[in-house]
Amino acid sequence: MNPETLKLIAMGATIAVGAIAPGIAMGMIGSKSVEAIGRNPETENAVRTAMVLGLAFVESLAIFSLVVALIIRFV
Amino acid sequence: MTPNISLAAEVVFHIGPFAITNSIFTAWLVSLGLLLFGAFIRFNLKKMGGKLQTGLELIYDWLIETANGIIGNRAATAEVLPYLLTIFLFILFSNWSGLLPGFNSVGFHEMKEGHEILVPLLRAPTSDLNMVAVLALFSMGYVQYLGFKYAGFKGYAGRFVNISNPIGFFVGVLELLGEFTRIISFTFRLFGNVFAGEVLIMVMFYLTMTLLPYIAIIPLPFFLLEMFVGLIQAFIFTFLTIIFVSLAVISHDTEGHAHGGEELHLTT
Repeated sequence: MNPETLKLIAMGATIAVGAIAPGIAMGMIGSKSVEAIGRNPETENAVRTAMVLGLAFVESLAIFSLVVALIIRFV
Repeated sequence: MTPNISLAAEVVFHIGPFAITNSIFTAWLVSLGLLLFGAFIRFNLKKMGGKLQTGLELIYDWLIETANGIIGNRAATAEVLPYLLTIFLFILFSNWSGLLPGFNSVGFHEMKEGHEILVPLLRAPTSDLNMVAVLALFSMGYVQYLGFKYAGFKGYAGRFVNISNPIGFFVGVLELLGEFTRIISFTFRLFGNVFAGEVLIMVMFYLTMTLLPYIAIIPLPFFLLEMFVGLIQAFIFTFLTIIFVSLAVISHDTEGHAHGGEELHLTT
């Protein structure tokens, strides 16, 4: 295996492994928010704001691994 | 034809000994646009404003109420508010500027490592790690200044240096470390989102060009997504600055009943 192949494998593995936990976390945030809105529909706006904030924090974790993957690939 | 994706901003021209990269050039343009917009609003202020002024007043009102609700200190809010609005507008329009036509596509060709690449003249400022790192450093530095000012020198420094007991000392070291990790997470969150968005759009363009000719509508939803992401990221940068300010300005003697901040310890 030459270094170029290893680089490609590392890039794919980085983003593949790095997206697992954020995926689970996003699912949890989404399901809990829908549950909260279902229980108490008047709080939809407040829940939505908190949900989008939480999703963005979780997304940034996936973005970290994406940045690392891009660095492996392009630098 | 392959996409040319460069992690670092490219140098486009020199002013004296200084190399000017495409991202700093665009940052100047964005700042100039915001300055002109601000001057335009300033000199057209009326007691009963039009739609634009009313809309801006609405945003201003909302931000001051939100910031005050979290910080819980009206003097600190009044001091930090101009900074918050500035970084919000700058980051928002920097993020959105990368979606304009001509960005990342208009430029000149240059030979590099044997093959010809396109060096774009314009590039979104926030897709350059240096620019984002400066924004993050400035934000955290300002938070430290506000902490010293409102929590008192002893109160604020005592959080990081506590030699009364070993556990307190360790907690202080962790707090100090936390301040630096905040800079890093600030930087990579914004940079990663914007840069990944640009890469995504570029890849979509090349997919459309190579796989499905004449179906040019495919990248369009991604533009909408990136507009949303840009807004959300600008909002998050501002919001996190508010939260960090609120954590910094709580002084020790009022910590028990200062409202806000405590329920938002999710931070970094």
